[in-house]
Amino acid sequence: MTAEFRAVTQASATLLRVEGLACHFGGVLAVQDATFDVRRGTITGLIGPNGAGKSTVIDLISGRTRPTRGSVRFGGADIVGQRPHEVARHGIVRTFQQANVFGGLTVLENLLVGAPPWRGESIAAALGPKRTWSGRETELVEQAWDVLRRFGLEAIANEYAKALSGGQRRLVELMRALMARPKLLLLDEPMAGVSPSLALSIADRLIELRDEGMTMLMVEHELRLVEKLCDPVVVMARGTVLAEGSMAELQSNQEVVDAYLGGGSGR
Amino acid sequence: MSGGLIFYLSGLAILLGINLIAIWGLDLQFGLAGINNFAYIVFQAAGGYAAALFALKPAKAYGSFETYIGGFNLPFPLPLIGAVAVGGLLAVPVGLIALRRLRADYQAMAMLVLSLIATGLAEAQTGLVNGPAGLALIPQPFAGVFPVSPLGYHWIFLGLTAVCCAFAWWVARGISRSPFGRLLRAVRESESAVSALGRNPYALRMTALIAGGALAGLSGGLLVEYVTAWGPSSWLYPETFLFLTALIVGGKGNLAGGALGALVVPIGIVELTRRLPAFGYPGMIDSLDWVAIGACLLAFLWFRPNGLIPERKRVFRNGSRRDDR
Repeated sequence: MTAEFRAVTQASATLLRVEGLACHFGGVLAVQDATFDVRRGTITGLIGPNGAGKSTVIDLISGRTRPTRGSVRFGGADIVGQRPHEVARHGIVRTFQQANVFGGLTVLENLLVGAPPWRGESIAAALGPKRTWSGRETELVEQAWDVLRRFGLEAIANEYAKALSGGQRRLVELMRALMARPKLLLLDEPMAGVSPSLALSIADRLIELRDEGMTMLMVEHELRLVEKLCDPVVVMARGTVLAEGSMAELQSNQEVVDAYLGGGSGR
Repeated sequence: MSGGLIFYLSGLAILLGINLIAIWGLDLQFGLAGINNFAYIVFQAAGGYAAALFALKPAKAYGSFETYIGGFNLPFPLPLIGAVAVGGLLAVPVGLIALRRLRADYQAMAMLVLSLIATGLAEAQTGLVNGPAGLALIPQPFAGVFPVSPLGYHWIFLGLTAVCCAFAWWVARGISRSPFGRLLRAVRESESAVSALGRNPYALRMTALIAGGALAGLSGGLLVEYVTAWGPSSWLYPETFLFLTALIVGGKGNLAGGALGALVVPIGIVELTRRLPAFGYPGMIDSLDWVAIGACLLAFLWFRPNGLIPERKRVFRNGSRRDDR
């Protein structure tokens, strides 16, 4: 294999490229010169001590926060500076550090809002004959039931999301993101506040999704789960990328051990 | 039943219909989309002024005893259509100011300030809509067309109000049961989650503000054509809280709740306090109106925040169509 061919195949395998990303909040440097790639079909882990800038990176990629400088390229297009709904329309869907569900909507309605934008959602359709949107709506309801069945959660389909436990809300957020059929799923601590058994269940679902070809970038503190799920793993500290590789490689990297792994954090 | 009582009751029915349109419009903004529109009364006022200015002849035709811009002498139903359009269009600058950059609590403050500015402007610019004295002699629809008694005209106007209510019901029901209505409720719950799923929450809220503003404009136009006069004292900022109280008491996010609120608050409470025997200083009864409305609002916020008829849960059966309960 020639070096040129390798470069081309690597480039096509890269779905997201973060390059020189920086973000200041007033005088505070939250992220500086962050550079890493997310390859297609992987779960890329993003780990680091508290305040390392991991969630800020997710916010910068998803458009929630504007970077001071740097670029975010997704499938070759520069998406930096776009607003969250514009970024989402490229196929990048995120979950939040605090489960962010529509509390006053049922679980099934939450999933329906997750579906990619469609014409029947306009005010013109609302004021027109019901048949202009009811067919697609029925399809989406069926899709939502399929997702619920996959997660074994049909029983809570008609519960208000605000009535659910923290762990169930996480699952609703994840299922809603899947309804969007994302090209890249950004997961910001998806296991935070979740019972160990539910965390393992979520991990199994994520592995299934990866095996089906979905690409994910995941911020997570629980290192055993990171080891189980993520390859490669990007380590951040003090706003910058410290190292990148498999967990086995990182565990033998003295700089990473000193900055994060050494204290046994998360273990 | 005496003729006077029938006249009074038919008048109440007209006012109920006008309030119903306004409350359903507010429900689109506040109940569905979660917009704290404390300037709602301005939309009704704008519709009222639009209908008046479209229906009135130029000021000179009345010997210039009042001063205003326009005076287009348009036939029915153009003044009402103009009221709908102006109510909807007013939402655009209001939305640009209040919805774009501000969080919900600051949106409420901005709306309240806009309401105060609008009243100040209407009062101070006497050449605009005749200042604090307001507009009078506003022509009524079909006036003089049918040779009927005042009570007979009441029935005609009640019919017109019923048609406008049916239109407002069609708009509000169409939106609330549709996927668009679901998105509005989602925006109400979490703007950040809606934008993370590819929808522009600002555009959604703006659309709700326009739709609700159009219904407020319609209610204002109808009210002005019924009472034939309109001035700043008719639409002071507390009037917004009358509609908000009706919605919170009846139950926001559903048409039946809005209808019940329209019956209980602007008609029930206001008419009941008016029936009290006069006591205390002059104006005591009017003040009691607001005390009763305010107490009612606080009681419901504390003890029954979802109102008498809470928003319906949309239930989906596995493998079948939707059914509301």
